[in-house]
Amino acid sequence: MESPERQDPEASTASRQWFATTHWSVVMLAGTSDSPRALEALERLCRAYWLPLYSYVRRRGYGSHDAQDLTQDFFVRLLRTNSFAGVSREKGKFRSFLLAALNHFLSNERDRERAEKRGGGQAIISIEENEAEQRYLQGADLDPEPEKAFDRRWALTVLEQALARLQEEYLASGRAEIFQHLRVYLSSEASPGDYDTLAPRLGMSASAMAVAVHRLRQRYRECIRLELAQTVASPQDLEEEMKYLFSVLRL
Amino acid sequence: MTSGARKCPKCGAELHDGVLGGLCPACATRLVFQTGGADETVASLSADGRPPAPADAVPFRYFGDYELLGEVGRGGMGIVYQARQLSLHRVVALKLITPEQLALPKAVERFHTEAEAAAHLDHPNIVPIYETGERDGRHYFSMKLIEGQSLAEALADGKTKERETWKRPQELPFPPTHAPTLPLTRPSEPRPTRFDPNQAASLLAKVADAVHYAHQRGILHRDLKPGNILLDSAGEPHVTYFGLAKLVEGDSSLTLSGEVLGTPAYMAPEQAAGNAKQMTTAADIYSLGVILYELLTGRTPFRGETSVETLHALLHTEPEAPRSLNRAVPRDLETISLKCLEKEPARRYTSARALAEDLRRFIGGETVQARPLGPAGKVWRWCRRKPALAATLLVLQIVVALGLAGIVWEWHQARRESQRAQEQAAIAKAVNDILTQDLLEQASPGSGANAGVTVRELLDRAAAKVEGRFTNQPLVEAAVQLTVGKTYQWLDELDKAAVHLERSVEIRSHKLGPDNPDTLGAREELALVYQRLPGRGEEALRLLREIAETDRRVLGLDNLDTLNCWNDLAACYMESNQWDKAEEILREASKTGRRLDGHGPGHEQPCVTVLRLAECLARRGRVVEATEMTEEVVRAERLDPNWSTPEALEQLGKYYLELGNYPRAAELFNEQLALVRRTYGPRNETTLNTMTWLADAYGAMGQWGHTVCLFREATATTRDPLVRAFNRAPRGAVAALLGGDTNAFREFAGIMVTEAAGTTNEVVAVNVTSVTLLRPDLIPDVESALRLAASVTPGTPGRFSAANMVTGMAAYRRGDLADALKWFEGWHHVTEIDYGRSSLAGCFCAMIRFRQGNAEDAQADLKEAGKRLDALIHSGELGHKWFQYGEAAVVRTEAERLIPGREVSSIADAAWLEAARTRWAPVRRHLNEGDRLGLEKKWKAARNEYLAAIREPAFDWHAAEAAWDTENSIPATKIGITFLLAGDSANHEQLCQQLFALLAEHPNPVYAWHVLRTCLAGELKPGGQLAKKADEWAAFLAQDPGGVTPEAVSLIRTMAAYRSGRYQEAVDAAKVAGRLSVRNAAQIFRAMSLGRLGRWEEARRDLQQAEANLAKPLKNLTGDLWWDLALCQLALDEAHRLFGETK
Repeated sequence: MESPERQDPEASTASRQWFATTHWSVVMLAGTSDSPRALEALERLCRAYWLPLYSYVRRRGYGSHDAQDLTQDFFVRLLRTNSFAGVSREKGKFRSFLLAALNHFLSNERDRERAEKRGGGQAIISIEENEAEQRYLQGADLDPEPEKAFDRRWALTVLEQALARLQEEYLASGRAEIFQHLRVYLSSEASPGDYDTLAPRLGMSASAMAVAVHRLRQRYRECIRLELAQTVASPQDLEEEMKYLFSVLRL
Repeated sequence: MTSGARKCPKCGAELHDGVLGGLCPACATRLVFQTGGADETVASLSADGRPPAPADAVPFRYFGDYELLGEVGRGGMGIVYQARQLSLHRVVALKLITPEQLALPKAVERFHTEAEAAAHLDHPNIVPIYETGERDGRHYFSMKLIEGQSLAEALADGKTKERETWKRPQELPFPPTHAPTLPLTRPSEPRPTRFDPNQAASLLAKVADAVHYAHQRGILHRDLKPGNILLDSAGEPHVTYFGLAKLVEGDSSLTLSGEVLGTPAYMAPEQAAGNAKQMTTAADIYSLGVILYELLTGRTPFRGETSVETLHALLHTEPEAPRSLNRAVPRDLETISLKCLEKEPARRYTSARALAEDLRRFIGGETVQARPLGPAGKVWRWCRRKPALAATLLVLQIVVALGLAGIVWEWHQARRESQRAQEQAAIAKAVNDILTQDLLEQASPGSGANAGVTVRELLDRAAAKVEGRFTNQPLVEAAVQLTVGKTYQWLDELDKAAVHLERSVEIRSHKLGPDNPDTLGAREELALVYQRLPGRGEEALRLLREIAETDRRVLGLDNLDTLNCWNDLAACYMESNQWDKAEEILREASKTGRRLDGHGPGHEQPCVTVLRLAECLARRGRVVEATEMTEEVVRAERLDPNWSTPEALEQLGKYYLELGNYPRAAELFNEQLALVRRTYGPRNETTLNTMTWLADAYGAMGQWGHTVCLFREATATTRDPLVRAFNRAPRGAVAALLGGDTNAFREFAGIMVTEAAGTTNEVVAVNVTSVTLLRPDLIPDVESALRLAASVTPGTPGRFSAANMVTGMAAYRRGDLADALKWFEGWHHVTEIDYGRSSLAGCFCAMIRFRQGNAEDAQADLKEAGKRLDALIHSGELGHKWFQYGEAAVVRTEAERLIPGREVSSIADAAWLEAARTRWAPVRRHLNEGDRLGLEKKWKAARNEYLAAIREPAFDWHAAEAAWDTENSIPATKIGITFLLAGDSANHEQLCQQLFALLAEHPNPVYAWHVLRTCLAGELKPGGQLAKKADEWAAFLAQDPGGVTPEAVSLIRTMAAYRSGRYQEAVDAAKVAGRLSVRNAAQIFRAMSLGRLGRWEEARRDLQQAEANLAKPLKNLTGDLWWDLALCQLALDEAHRLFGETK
């Protein structure tokens, strides 16, 4: 190593270090799903993101039972073996990887005797039969196109995961009641007088409540970014993914 | 709750309780991303420029000197408030920058520098900056408050205005009702807002004036768009955020990994494809053209469904003529706008003023200077068929990945010299074209054959097209040839690189003259390629000497380019071992360097000079001097790091390794590693090399755990499988063996064997087999390792080359002792080989001789080999040679296991451990103390020390196993004996369980001998679990005694039989022979067995004899021997008790 290549030394450092520990970057770093940490990270992601996949499979025309089996099998394969080594993880995003891997899986599956391989599979990601179909149906406004249905479900999952995180934070810090009352303002502006009536019930002034709503929204935004960040491996990917999220939500 | 569907009161979307808890996903996202510190993404997604401010409360009222009155807008970098500046009683616009935007110190610094520069702009059409600063960690700037709206807003909500202003009676070709001609392809679009051509021209002329004013002062806007142009109540334009917009939004806006896709609508193509930091005034002019186009047609010239499409259109298509969108646009104005939108910067207006003047000519009815493109002009157009998006992005990545630093640099230059700028930009464009177009064509997914095309192949194809393509533009060809040549150089295709660089030099010398800086630059590149080409070193030197001379003559001595060339020249001399010459040049250059020590590009060159000079000295043995010199560089560079900083740290680290100061070396390599990881990324070869250096430093300190970890990481991240196999994994494997981590060894060996399978590269084969054959018992496939070794071509026997060593090792492992001996024989007569290899050969020689029945020579060989190995430890060369030490030490251990009677050190040599293993220091302290107390026969205190040692977190039996390899230093045995001496049978029993477990993991006779002796010394319960275990292992030992002597084996058999109550068998097995301690112990156990059988007379005789032997004074009793005797003492005590009981 006589002369190191010249590169821009100003590349961000802190953020890159942080990204080194996102779930997806851990999976990517491992390269294969053999390492326990990578497997754990992958599993955590899969647990969170099964519904988009289920919706996709359903939209591909499979019935609810088949779709459950397929989604289940897919996860088993994904977590148990490294059978998707051929699917590039270089794209940097969990979302792209997941869909590519699922497509890969489905196209192989078509040619195969399904009964034969289902025997050994153990449930890893629990998909409750009813829950899956019910939640799927709740997205009745889902696009008939499988990819778009997947994207929309994926976006909703991101938002839901972030909301769960936000709620957990509020619960943990003893502000459950505030959260309960203010969450509605995450998606709608307060009508005039709202704060005046609600604030005394929460033991705060109207202006304090305005600030609290402001903070809640701000934190939710951060939670969304954090959640999304778990599915990418670099700050650039995150920005792209944010934009994609907005476009999926038709913003 | 039921899951009934409701509708969002705001957007009407269907809501479900099961989806986002009943909230509206779209509205929630929109709302939260508009809250405080708005995200740029959303900002840019809602209309361009500033989205209407939501009625949000001001978060706080006072901010330093400012009282916030209300929010007036938001943009990419933060929120703008209307605020009252209290000290000056004026109302201003205050922009608070979102903290993330200025996360890096450098960004903060640049922001303030640029803001200060912008604050000096005093032009009626530029919004003046009043103040910049920081308060409570938030950066802000205040500027004049313009009451009105932005041009973006005017464009967006100008429907009514349109009717008011859309008239130009004198020239209107159609009645006003037909005026807004919409593009037929997009019938559903909202009706675009346009400006009256005269009004648009006059507005833009003012903006262009303002831009020109700033350009003259060296400030680029970089983000001109309607959102950044404010219209006051009189309709006067005011350009805002000069120099700040892109700066604060971060460099990220132009990386290829996505952010380039931000808002490319107003971006110049070179800006979209290249680097924002290297932009020129031409890019601002382009943006002005887009604004004019939009004012005239109501839309921007390039639009796509997504940013990617926009970008693609921007790069690869020509804008539709404004008149095709709106017939009312005057032809001249169309020509003006299209001239701004030229893809080639040089074809645009040379300055913003030129644009303003042409606009005024149009308003005044004069002939404009811009001319519509003739057929010739169209040659340079990118009239390309529409390639797929993937291809575009691929190519952009290639272009950027290859750096094209030269082009960027040339753009940079262009900013300074406007005349030269056009030429240079034309050249830059041409270089860009050939790479983009030719590579693009090749990479087009339309042809399926291109699936596996590599960068190399693409470059080959592109290079083939250069010749004859630029007959009329020799300088363009020169630049293209230079870029192609440099790219080949980066790809290590030196022959090809030379061809292209030679051509570039030829053209430039011819056209520009030999002394032109451009010519010199190309020649220097060529020289650097020659230097690396075998047999052309002389030519390289000659070239560099010439260039250096010319540089000195033309540029002067105190010039960074001159210095750079001198540095290269010196490096070239060093490469050819001409140290005197190199030193002479560097000493001279360092004087220049001291005078030049400044900032800016190339300011690291003086440091490089000193570094090379230090290296020059170090190579000639003046390491201390070199160290001092480099320390100084490192100190200076820590304050102001540049690309040579890692090199400086590495060099200094190496010197300390050489000086034997391993901790300091490790510290420096650690620092370097952090730096290069950050700058180059974890997989970069430089990073991996640094990791290797650091591992070496740890290796020299004996911190095997660290060493193994680093090699594990380096091995995992190394891309090249062969480098992985022959460089990193072998070193990791040896470190693992030294640290007693056999699992890690297996892991590394597995990688090596897999990657090297079938290699024809002998270096790889030698490296891999020399390590895997160290422990054939631990590798999965010995046969394939032997096959690999067989592929190595050895030299003449008696030369101790690596290939010969491997051949000999393989022969030994195959069991062909005679053949093996051929390669190792005569090792101690050879003095020029290093200690590591010579002791390795010595140990093999010893093992061969022993197995041939020549124990005496074997002992002698082993002893001498051990001496050389010890010498290596004390030589202070471990920083470079720990690996060789390790290889030899592993073999020595094997030899010592095989050959009985050796009483010398092991891998865990005291000097080695104490000097190196700081991690083990507390463990060692306790063990040593225990040894001392044991020697003083203070059993309980000794036991306590040993217990403390075992309980140290750093203690682990696997590591201790390394220390078990010889009979001298066996912590477990000592510890076990001490427990018994202290009457602590509980701890003894527990220890024995543990030792048997370890033994099961590493079944090995010597090992078994020690464990059994330790265990059987305790009065085990006959028929108990431990007694059974011991019996089993005694049988194992009897079957496969390995290096354990027959006397020792029979002692174990006697003891085991006695503990299991098979007394006759014990008597039969006992052999009173061998070493003192073995002999005595055997006699005592025979005595006890005889007693149990009731043969008291014989028993008493045995016992008395043993007692007498033990009472004799012993010479040279050392810490390592007391426990050997103590074992006998224990047996004696037990016998006395037995005899007393049964008397």
